[in-house]
Amino acid sequence: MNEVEILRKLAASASREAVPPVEVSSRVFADLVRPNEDMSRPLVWVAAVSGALAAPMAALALLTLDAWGNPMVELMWFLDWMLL
Amino acid sequence: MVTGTRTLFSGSELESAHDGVSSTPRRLSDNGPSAMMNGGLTAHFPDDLRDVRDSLNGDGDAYTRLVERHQGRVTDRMWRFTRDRFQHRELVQEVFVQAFLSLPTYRGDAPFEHWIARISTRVGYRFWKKNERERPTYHVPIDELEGLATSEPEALDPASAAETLHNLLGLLPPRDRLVLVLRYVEDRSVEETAGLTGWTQTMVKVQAWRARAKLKKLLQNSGLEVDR
Repeated sequence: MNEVEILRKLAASASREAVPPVEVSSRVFADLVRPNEDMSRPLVWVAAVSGALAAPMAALALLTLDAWGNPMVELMWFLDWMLL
Repeated sequence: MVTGTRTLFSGSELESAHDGVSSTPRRLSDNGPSAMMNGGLTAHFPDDLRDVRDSLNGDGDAYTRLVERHQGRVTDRMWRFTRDRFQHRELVQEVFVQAFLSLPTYRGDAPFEHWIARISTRVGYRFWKKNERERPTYHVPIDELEGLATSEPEALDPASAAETLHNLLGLLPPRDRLVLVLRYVEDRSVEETAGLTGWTQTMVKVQAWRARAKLKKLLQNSGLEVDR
């Protein structure tokens, strides 16, 4: 026998093998929906990082404002001092 | 989910045809060129055309029908690429996911079955390439091959023969393996093989010749007598 005859003989016998049945229709749709979730994931991360950075910035801004007092009053005092 | 609105086919092409989907285990021999010759693969062509069109228009049920109609043959085909049941199911699923994503490129000038066979071949080949590192763990199944010359295919146990064939071809690189499967296991012509792989016919002939030479050398190196 040559190599092709070996392959063909094995293939002839293997063709009688019962292949395990597979049902994928529902899984295909689940898989097709997943890429959309993957696509939105970076946006979720951007939103999370933005939120995390925004919170301390807001706190810092409040602290600065509190330390500064009323910016309009401060400005008026400054102008008052400059003019007088 | 499906947003394509391209009109592919005229209404006259969409004649009804019977639906013969079976979920029972099928034999690999149902999937060969003989099935193609007797029209087995084209019997659902009008239904396929209608369901492709409806899928592109956003009808999810239409794609489910396509999957249910073709998953039997795809299941058979992908069983040649792995004998692991979990991987097998994953491969079948991947074929239909890839088919869905490529659906707008289906022109409808050939049966859907042929189109999905090309996708199956591509998915299977990629799977082999991805798992190429596992190749050296196989060995030539000498014990199984020694008695082959004197026994008829009917006398062999189908599952054992399929396992032996899988292990034997697993010794070869994916390109060689693919061309041997298509040309000599599935008994496809050079033209069909070229269509499924995307190679030229000359490339198929050269690749098949090289693959045969490699297989022969492997068998001879294992001490098996191989005729010219």
